[in-house]
Amino acid sequence: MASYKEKILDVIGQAEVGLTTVDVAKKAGVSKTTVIKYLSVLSSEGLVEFVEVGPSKLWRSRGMGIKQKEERVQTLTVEALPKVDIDFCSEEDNALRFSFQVDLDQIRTILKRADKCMCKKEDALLIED
Amino acid sequence: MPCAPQASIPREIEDFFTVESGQTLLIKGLPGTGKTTLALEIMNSLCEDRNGMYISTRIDPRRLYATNPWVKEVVPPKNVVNATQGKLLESLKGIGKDISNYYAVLDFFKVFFDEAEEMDNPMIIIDSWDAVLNYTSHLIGDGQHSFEQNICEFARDLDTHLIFVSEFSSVMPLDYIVDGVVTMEQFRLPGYAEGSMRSRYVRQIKLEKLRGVEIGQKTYTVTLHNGRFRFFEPYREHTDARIASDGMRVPDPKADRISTGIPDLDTITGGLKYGSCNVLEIDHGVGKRYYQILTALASNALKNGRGVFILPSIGYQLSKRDIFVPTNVVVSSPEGEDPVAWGEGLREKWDELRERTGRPILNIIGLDSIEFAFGYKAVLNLVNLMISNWKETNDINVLVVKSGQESMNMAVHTADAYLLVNELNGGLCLYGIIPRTEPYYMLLEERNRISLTPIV
Repeated sequence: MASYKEKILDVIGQAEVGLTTVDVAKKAGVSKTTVIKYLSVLSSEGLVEFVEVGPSKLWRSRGMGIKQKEERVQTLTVEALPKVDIDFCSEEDNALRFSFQVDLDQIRTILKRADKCMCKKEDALLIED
Repeated sequence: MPCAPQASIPREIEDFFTVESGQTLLIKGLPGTGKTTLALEIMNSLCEDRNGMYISTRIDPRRLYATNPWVKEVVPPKNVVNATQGKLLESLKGIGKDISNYYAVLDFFKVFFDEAEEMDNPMIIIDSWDAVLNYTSHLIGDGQHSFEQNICEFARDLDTHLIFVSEFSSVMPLDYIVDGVVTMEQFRLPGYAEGSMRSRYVRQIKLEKLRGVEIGQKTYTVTLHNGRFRFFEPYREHTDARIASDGMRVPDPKADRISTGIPDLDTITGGLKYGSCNVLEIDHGVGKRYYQILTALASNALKNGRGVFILPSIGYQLSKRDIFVPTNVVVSSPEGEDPVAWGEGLREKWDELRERTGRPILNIIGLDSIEFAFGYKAVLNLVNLMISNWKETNDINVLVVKSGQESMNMAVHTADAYLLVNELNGGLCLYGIIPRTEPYYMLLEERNRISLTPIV
């Protein structure tokens, strides 16, 4: 049978965005006074921490913060990808033109991950294996 | 007047703790004003059994239960924490220099929760907060306000009501941090000099702020009678006088004394002696509300087979249809321009009533009416005649005087008993000048029964 400490650690670990103190107590099935005692111990051991979200304090596992930080970095990189512009041409032309404004360094990095390379030929950029 | 059971704490405080969870209340006041008793009464009224926690820097469980045995159900012995300086320092030892850190508050409460029973919905009293700060000042230093802020956040975060008790009566930063502030006060009744025969001390609670609650009445009169906090609703009865048969008959307390019709007043005065002159002084602001005292007195005298003579005070209207034994009640007002002739007529009416009932009668006389009709000198002469007559006849006499009128100066020298009624926080306060008594709060209860509770 799991101890109070393990139960509390477990429910906090399972929460995606963190839990309020009262929710930790409810989900772990312990009293409010017990949850305070263990949150005090777990935080001093570096296993849990709280983040302030508005007026609430949300408890989460200590590792969770680092993981979320990494995810945020990747997201930022994706957001920084090329701006795309679409040109709706006349009916006679019967075509759509896409233009890209790119950061060459970012494109090179992405191609490198995909084992491709890029070279410039006349007015165009070519992507080759 | 509503006759529902009286709540022990004001509605505003009850609403404050039910409108939101995790409320923080600061109870302020000078030593001896009743802060701890109020805090415990709030806990007793609103906290689940065994969910109260009392962190005290000055009282241990044994002493707490000795003086407040009724709190045991709510605050079990393990939840009475004797917060010595050593324990407080232990609770803060892990905080280092960063008192502004929220984790410091967790550690602070952990030390107390370690020894307490498990509680699902705790309500916590810290008594006194001043002493906690004093014991830990060298650790807390400049971080006091951050620490207080974090403790309030802790209460909100844990959905736990928290009460701070403090002896600082002036405004301090904690006043702005907490959700509610109330002040307990003990003060001398205004208008009377210290040590004078009319001077008395009373208690009140002042509702300074209660976030989320409309404060209907800012101050309430309170008492700590029998070691319990109790507040008093205003006394709003303003009905006209009537001498009805409702209400219990109160037997005379002794062979030589008649009942006042108010058992509590009989206990205070011992009843009204045969042949005595008793004065009831009515202070400004009482309005018609003193009628209930006279109604109880007259009604009970009739029930005990006595005749009642009433010379109404100014404004005291009493018609025959409002009297349940009209044959035994004579109502008469000053007439004519000759006070001596009128006085003779009065004596005849008394004799007639006495003969009809076969025993001494009760006279209720509004001195203000006589003074208004004939002047102060005539009052002096008439009262002299009356008193000599009463001694012979053994009639029981109650003179009603209004504060400020000249007759009052004379009445105090003729009185066997002298009672004063005044207005206090919307209610009525009654006390004895002769014999000297503590002040009592007057309440009208079921079946027009008047109760008197000591304001101590």
